[in-house]
Amino acid sequence: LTRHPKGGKLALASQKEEPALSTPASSHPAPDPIATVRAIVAAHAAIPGPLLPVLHAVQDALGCIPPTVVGEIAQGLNLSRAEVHGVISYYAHFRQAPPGQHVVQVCQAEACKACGADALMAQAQALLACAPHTTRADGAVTLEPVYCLGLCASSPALMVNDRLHARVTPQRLGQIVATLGVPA
Amino acid sequence: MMRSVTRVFVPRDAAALAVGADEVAAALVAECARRGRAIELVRNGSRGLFWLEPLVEVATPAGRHGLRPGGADDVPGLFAPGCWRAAPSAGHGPTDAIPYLKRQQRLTFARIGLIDPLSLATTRPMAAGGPAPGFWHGPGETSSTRCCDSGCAGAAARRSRPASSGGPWPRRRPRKSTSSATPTRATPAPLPTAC
Repeated sequence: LTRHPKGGKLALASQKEEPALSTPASSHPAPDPIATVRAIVAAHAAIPGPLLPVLHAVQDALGCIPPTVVGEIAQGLNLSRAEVHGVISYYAHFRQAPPGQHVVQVCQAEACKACGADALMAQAQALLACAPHTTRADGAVTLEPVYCLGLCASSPALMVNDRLHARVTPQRLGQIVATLGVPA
Repeated sequence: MMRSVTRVFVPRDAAALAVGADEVAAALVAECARRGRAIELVRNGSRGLFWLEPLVEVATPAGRHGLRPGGADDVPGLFAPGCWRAAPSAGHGPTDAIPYLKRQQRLTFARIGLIDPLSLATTRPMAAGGPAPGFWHGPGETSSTRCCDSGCAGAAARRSRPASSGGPWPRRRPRKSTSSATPTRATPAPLPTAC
């Protein structure tokens, strides 16, 4: 399957471990967004077509790409703000607001749809008390549909905090959600 | 009697990790330690049979033998009699004899899943019969010079190339400003014009 432009990022060969439960974000000082962006832009200045790598790096560092740094990215890459904003808003992977503490992405593409992705999304919605495309009011979790995690042969698939899960059954989804420790 | 070290393969492809390959590998190492069994764990790529993942393979004198634990809880069952030999009754039998694999003609994918993809030591011997002689290094060459001279140099190769040596890749210039107003901030550093 080809990647849907509104889809999630491609499956990673090396996955991160799920973070420890309830890690307070405030335990680390928040990075200065502008200084972070300047450093990232400088690090990518020598490569051709740096915008997408820069946006990925900014989101990885800050958790999102806030509107306040778009001008800095545009200035640093010699682009217009509209060009940068256009790319950010085109790809659903790029966030303009911080996500919840846990991000649950349920694949809704064709192969997963054929193997029960709708029921899985409904179950995730109920277990997490969170509507698709939204972050819960307490900031505990963000629930998103994504369009192809690249695991069509092992459908249905989902990704929790950058960790892939395939052949997910309702029972397995319950176990995964339980490990997150998200209050009901 | 001293047992020889057995090579055991547990894939680390994303499709295998998504169905618990890491947990299976950890359980396998723990179980081998508990039983005093020496293994060499190789995290290979996937053979491409995603519906069989996590596909654990054991190297035997008769070739690689495929086993399929459902999860980490099933790992102790992999030590049942016959599992670590190419016994037809245990697991999938010889991996290469699985019909879906046996029917395939793999060319560029011939080595996929056989080895640890990050291990040059195991990649080199396997590539000996494939690429042209001198593929890895010619006399006096390094990886970066060979990459640069190939004409398909990437950013890393460009950075490692002396500025005076030129190259076939296009050079980037900063876009001319269309505004005559005095910039309020420092002008960003110009993009490099030499490699």
